[in-house]
Amino acid sequence: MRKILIFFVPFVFLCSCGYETDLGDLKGELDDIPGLETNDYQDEPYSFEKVTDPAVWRTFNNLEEMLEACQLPKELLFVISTENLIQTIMNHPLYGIYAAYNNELDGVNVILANFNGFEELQKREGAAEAVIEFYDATNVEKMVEASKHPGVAKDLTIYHLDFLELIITTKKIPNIFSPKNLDRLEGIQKEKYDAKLNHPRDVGLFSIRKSLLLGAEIKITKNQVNLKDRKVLQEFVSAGGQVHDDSIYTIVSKIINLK
Amino acid sequence: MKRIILCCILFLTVFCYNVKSIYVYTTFGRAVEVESRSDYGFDKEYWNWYYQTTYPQATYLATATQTYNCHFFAWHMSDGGSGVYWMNPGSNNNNISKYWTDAYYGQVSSTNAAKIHYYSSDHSAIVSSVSGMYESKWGSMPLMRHAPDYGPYPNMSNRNYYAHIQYHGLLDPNGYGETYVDVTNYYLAPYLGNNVYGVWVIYNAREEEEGYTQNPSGNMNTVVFQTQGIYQMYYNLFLISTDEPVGDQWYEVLVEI
Repeated sequence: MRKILIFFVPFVFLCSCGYETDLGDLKGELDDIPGLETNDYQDEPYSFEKVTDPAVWRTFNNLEEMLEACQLPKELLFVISTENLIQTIMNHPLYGIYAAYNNELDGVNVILANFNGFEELQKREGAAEAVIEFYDATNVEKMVEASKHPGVAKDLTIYHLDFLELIITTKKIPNIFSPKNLDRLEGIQKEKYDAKLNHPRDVGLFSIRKSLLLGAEIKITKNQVNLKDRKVLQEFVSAGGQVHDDSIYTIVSKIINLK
Repeated sequence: MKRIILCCILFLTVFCYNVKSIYVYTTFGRAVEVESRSDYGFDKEYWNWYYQTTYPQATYLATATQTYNCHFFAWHMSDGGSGVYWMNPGSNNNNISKYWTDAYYGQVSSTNAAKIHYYSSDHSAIVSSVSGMYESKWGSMPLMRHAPDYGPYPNMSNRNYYAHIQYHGLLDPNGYGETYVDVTNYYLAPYLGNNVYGVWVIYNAREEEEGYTQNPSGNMNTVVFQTQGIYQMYYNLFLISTDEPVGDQWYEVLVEI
C-alpha cells in the first residue's frame, strides 16, 4: 500500500504541473486577446473537410488561392501538439502536387513554403524527433493497401509516405539531420526502403526513388562516402531523384546500402 | 546485402532497357534531349483520381503516366512528333528553348499564341480548341484542359507565348560587313538546324541582283562585289522536308571603292 502511495503522490503532482494545466493557462491568456478564440479548437489533427467541400474547393481559381484556403487557423497553432501538427501536414489536401513537378522536391517546397502548419512545425522544439517517430510508425503494408482504394478510406497512402520522405530530404526540419538523429533516421529509411521493395508492382520506382533520395541525402550528410560516390549522390539529390539513366538507381542503392 | 540484391534485380531486370539518352528534333532539326521512362508499378488509377478530385475546374483528357511530361507534350507530341518521352528543360531552359530560340516558333502576344511556356513554373502548355483554355500534361500526372492560371504550379500568370512566325535573323558577316570592290568576301549563315536549307540572294540599292559575283556553298557564300554601294544580303530559309519557306537571315553590306 505504501508503495502505491509513494508512486501515486508524485504522479498526481506531476500531472497537476503538466502540459494540460500549462495549456489551460495559455488558452486563458489567449482568450483575453480580442479576436482570438482558442476554445473552438482542440488538440487533434486539423480537418480540412470544410475547405475541401467540393462546393467550396471548386471556387478556387489558382494554386495560390488553394494554398491560402489551406492555412491553419492561428488559434489552432497554440493548442495543437507537435504529433497532431505532423499528422495535419500529412493530411494537406495539396500534398500530391509534388508528383506534377519535373523535380518533385520543387513541388514539396511549394507546399512547405506556403503552409503555416509547416512554419509552426519548424519552430517546435523536438520537431525532428517527432517527425522521425512518425516516420518510424508508418506501416508500408497498410499504406500500400490504402493506395489501392483512393477516396474510400481516409488512411494515409504510400504516396503520403513519399511526401514525408521528400519533406525530410529537403532538410527544412531543424536538426533532423543532426548527428544525434542521423543513425536512427537512416535505420528507418532502410526499413521503409526494404518494405517498399517487397511491393515493386504496387509502389514501383515512383515510390522507391523517394526512399533512395532520402538515403542519398543521409549518406551525403554523414560524409562516409568517397568523392566519386558523393558526386553521384549529390547529382541524384539535385535532380530530385528523377534521373535519365535508370541504372543510376542501382548505383545509388549500392552506395547507400553498403556499410 | 539482401537489400542490394533485391534492388539490383528490380532495377536491372525491369528498368534496364531504358538507359540511353535519346533525341527528338525541332521543326528546324535541332536535337532536343529526351528520356525514356517506364510506368512499371506506377499507380495511374490513384493519381488520376487525386488530380481529378483536387482540380475540379480542370477537365481530364488523358491518363497520368511517367512516360511523357508537359514539355514533350507541348513542344513535340502536339505537333505530331513521334515517340513518347520525358523532356527536361535543361539548365536555364537550354534544352526546350531550342523550340523558340532561332527557331520555327517565336514569341508572340497572348492572342496569337499556340504554345505557352510558364517561365516561373517549369511548365509548358498548348492553346486548346476550347476557347480561353489551355491543355497541358502536369508532370507525371494527367493531361488536363484548364484555364491559363489553373493548375498545380505557383505563379502561373508568368507566361511567354509562342507561335510559328517567319524567322528573321542575322548573317555572320565574318568581318566583311564593310568591304571593298574586287575583294573576296566570305559570309556565313549561322546554323539553325538539320532540317533547314537556304538560298542566297543579294540585292543592290536598286533592288537588282547585280554588281557582284557569288559562289554559294551551303551556309557559306563567297562574294566579290564589282560596284560600290549598299547591298542587302539574304539567306532565304526553307524546310528540307516540305520546302515550306520559314524566314531568312540577313545582313547589309557596305562596299566602297
